Amino acid sequence: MLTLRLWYYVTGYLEIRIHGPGLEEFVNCALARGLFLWRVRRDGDTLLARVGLGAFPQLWPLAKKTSCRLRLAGKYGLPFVWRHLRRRRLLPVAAMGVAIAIFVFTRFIWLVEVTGAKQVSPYRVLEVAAGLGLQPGVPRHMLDLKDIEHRLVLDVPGISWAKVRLQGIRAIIDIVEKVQPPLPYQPVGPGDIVASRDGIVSKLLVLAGEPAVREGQTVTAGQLLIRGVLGGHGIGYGQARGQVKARVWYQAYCEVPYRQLITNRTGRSWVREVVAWLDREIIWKGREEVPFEEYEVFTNRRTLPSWRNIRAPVELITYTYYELQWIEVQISPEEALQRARENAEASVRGRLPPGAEPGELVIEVIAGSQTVGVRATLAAVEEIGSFRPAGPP
Amino acid sequence: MNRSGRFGQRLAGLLDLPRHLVMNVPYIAITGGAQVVVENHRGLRHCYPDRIVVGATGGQVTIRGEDLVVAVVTKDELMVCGRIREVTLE
Repeated sequence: MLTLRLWYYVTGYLEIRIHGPGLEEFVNCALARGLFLWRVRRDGDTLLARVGLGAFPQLWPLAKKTSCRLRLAGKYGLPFVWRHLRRRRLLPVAAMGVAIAIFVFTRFIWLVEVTGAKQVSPYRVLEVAAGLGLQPGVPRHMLDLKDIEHRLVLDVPGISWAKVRLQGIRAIIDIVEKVQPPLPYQPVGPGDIVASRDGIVSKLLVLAGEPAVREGQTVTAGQLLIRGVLGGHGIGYGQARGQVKARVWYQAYCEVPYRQLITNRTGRSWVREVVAWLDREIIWKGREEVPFEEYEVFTNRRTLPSWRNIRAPVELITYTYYELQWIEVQISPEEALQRARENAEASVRGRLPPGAEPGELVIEVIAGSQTVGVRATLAAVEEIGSFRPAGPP
Repeated sequence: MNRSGRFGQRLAGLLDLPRHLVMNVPYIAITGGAQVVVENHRGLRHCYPDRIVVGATGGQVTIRGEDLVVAVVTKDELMVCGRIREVTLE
């Protein structure tokens, strides 16, 4: 059917209006002649129908035979479109002109964009690119992309890689910035190195200045370790530099009672259902207050299946509240000791600063009638020197 | 039914042939409430927006509905489109 309609559109077709007493008879006569009619419909006292351009002359004798009159109601199809265009000679010329203009204008770059610039200014990249010939209005074929990429890396400081992509009238400059290694902390000006915490000095390496302590000496927080003098004999005040490692101790204490209060579910539960729409929640069921004093909540979210990255903004959330009760349990001394030991050890190890080398761990048990306590002491070797700038003279 | 009609009916039953081809009776296909195709028709009798009557061997097919249009009509086939409510073979 579509092929037939397409054929009649190409060859042209007419809409005719049939007047007269024997409208249906006219149609049947046309069919008997082997003619093809479509969109036959009643319009008042007349009948409208569509016929092929070639069939139209054959309808006149039929109209006469059935005492009908024919009127042309419309002309459709490519032949009529073509005739219309031939009458308006400037229209195809203008269409051609527009097509040529589009073709010509798409041979140029009209937009230049920069992606990947975080530290480097994109305006700086655009400026350098414009200097290399990549700017709005330049013909695409005149661009040497490899050369521009190479020169961009050389001319824009802070760029390690550049790629220029042409997408239609857009030129996109993708850049990757250089990653600078973090600079070590360099204190400026004169100053001393002092202890940041208590400990026994285990290693002392003086790069600049004069040592104020010796290895094996016990120091306290804030004590001077390396004095910032120049020349080694107090000629002038300078910047002390060096490394001071010390043995320090960390302690943690944990106590576990033999009788403990824990929570337990009573078996009673209560449900609240909520429909979440975007950021709003509408309570569907369970509008009243939660009937338990102590409870824990279990949340179940049900959403419609998502497709690709499209997710439905509505979801059904079921909050199940389980009533809890406090009960007292008795644990064995061994279990209490074990728990206290684990907690104390985890606590003391968690307090070590990064870079510290942990040493031996000493566990001290303090058993009472109601509780058992564990004190964990961990020795570690770490850097304790910290720079203290010299105050005003 | 005349003699040739009875013969055609027997032949169609025996050889399992489509009866509308052998017996020259209308073959009506309805697609939802939007389209009716009548094959082996005997011409258009009446054409109104609410009623289209098509001639058939031994009677007529009446299609009732709204905005009815004879979408295509050839010597053998007639297709009616619109909001179809009722198709009657009389």
